[in-house]
Amino acid sequence: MRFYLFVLLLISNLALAQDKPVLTVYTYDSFASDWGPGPKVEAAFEEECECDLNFVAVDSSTGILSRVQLEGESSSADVLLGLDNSLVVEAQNTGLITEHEVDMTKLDLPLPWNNQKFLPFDFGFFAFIYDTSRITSPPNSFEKLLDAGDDLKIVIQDPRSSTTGLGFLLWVKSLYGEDAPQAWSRLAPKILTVTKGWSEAYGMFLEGEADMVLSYTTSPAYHMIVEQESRYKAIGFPEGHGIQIEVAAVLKNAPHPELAQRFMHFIASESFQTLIPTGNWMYPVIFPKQGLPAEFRDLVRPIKTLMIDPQGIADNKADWIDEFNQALSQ
Amino acid sequence: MPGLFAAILVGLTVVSALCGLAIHAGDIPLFEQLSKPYTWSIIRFTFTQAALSTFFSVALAVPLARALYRRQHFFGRALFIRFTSISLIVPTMVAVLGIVAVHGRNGWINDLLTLIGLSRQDYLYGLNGILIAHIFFNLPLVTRLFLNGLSDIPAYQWKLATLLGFNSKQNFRLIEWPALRGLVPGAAGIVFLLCFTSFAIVLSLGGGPGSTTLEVAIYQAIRFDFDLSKAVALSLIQIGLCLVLAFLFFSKQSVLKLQSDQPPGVGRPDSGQVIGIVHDNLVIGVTAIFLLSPFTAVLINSLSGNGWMILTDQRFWRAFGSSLFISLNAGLLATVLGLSIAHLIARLRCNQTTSWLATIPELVGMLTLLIPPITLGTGLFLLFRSFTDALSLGQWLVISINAIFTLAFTLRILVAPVQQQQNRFHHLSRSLGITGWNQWKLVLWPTLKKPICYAMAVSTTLSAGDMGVIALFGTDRLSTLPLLIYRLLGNYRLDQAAVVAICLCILCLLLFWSIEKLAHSPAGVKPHA
Repeated sequence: MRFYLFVLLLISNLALAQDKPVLTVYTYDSFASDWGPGPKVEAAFEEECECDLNFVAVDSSTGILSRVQLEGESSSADVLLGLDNSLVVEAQNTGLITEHEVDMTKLDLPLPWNNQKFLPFDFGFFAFIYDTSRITSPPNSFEKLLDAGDDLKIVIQDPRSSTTGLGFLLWVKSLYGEDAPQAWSRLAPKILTVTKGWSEAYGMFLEGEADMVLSYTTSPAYHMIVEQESRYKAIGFPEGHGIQIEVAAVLKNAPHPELAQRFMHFIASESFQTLIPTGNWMYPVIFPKQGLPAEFRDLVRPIKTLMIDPQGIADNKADWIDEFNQALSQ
Repeated sequence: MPGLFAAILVGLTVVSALCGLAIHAGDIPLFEQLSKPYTWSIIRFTFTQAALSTFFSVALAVPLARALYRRQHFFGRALFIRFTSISLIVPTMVAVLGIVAVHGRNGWINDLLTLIGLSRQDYLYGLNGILIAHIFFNLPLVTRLFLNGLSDIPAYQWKLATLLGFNSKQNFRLIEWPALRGLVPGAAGIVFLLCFTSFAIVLSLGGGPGSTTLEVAIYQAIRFDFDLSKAVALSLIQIGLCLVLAFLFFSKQSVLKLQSDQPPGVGRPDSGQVIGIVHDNLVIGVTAIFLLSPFTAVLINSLSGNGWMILTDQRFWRAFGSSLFISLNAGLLATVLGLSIAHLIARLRCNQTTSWLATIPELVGMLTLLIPPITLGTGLFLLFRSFTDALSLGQWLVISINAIFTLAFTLRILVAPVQQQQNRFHHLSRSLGITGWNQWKLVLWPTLKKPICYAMAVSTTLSAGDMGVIALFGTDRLSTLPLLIYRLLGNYRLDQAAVVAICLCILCLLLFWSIEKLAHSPAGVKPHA
């Protein structure tokens, strides 16, 4: 038995020993999964870089950050792909991030972005998705959602583990400010469960366990394009929608700094960006020459975009999450 | 002396991990944490769920143990009782998956409800789900302890009861309850501590703001916020509370046995009554359905649907390989450590003047049950992270921590037989001058191979099914089968999770069976001619 184990260990070590340089990118699981954009990104980059792109998938975006903090300066990661605007200051404060060399003036973002260390690679708007074959008139504003009957069941994500959940928390915070605790208590009876990540919540919704799920305005495009199914719709709220800007960053102690910078340029290139709309189901930061897929035109586009300044998030996040936890643990 | 070395090694690992964490954390805001209302709601929830789980497990075990005791002959009784003794090594995630399949919104119970025209109920997530899972694991354990207690009732008491014409109620009040009463505090204590520190169940069925326990909050502090000082503060609170609880429960130690030595089958006056028969069969039937339905659901879900696709996925085979590697190494390590420490305890007990010292290594083995594995894992990771890459470090940390945490079980299994062996052979082998490898080959292995293999089978299987620290270090590169189930559950791929669960069960059974089988092979010594 020991012999087999020894052989096993040897094989696993040999598998790592290759002559090409290996660029290690930490990302979240749905990006790296077979149905996400990961495999195509890997193939496209490996074609031009003479290297091996190795995605290490952590279970969530916040997981990427805590993972790097745990590993500290001895981390083997070169690039972090999948942090977002709510995490950038926290990530920057670890002192583990260095500047990238991409010119960001060419990016098409709905809001100005001026953090030199983090490169936006896509963005999306948070929204509730419902199934038109099950509900005909969903609450069409945030206020109406809070006032809806308690038999309306929604699934949201935990703001501590999921950036969608955190995005929702910030969305509520930017709408209700000091009155957020009351908003949470009004919402609480309608929350079926708070899941750890987006995938679980969305899966529960698709299985019919909940009436509405917190996701993105772009989610219906997936059903229209992949499944030719148009019954899933996002609800546009007149109060405005929270925005998520997903970013990538290079680690200061990256084992392959040049390759890492090259990957950052690749992220801001046409070949990466065209994979985003129908791969990660978000808006690309560089508008494609041939335009977005036709289905994207039917999507809800927020009247108003809400974003809290990243420094403000970093300063108050812990308190706001406590507030949320407190309201939901009553 | 290997025993002393092993005990010091374990003790030192625990202490250095805690120090490592404390150094990185800087100041520890114990009082700041204690002043937060959210911390208190976590502590409250931890207590509430543990208390309710304990109450239901113990309260339901009384009628179940009684029914099993009264019905000595029915089809599947032996199997049912065998199940009660292995429930602790059933991989948690398999049970969780099964419970979701039975009790979830799209589960069997809800399918039944819609069949009879009722609307679907959401009762699984949060406290209810945690209680269901905790009862699932602990009811069999307590039942087993109680059944052994009942089996120890001397036959003359029943003869007396027949003479005096006791009815069922009097039998319980005057004969059975006195036999059980002494066992309740010990059994309740174990269940309470197990539920108090429960991790995987709370993480997968609760974990939301309203249903977080201390153990999960520590994980969240590290995994979500990377707030080490908060993690250390919460760990200290948990360790403190556990110590107090352990002291309360176990200071008056009652003897808990998982094996009974009384022959079964004693005629009792009320075993023929119709009401009793109906009652007992109902109790046994309902519990059997409760305990077996999750497994059946997993099995059916794995056979239907196209979950088998996961077998073509390299994530599955990576997880399978790591599970095998981690569990075998952890099992071996736990057994070697357990055997060495058991030896030390036996040696110390031999001598009148040193026997009090034996409690120290015993405590080292038990202490690990009080310290959250997540805390230990993080501390060790921070100490060793600059020496090697994260992936291989993670793997070895999972092995060591699994070994340390199954040490309590291997010690429990090994101490008594080692003690007996010591008493019988110590002087003989000393006078014959048998030492070192010869002592192992000629004396230790032949006399102890059964408990050693059993201990290794238990610790290997426990490690294979464990979902603790791996939740902290796991990525798609380093994953085990339980973690893969957890992740698939998190992606709502229930059909694939069911297939992985079945594979994990098969792996566990194979590991248990083949390691236990090692004891029957004549390896090492030649059979007598």
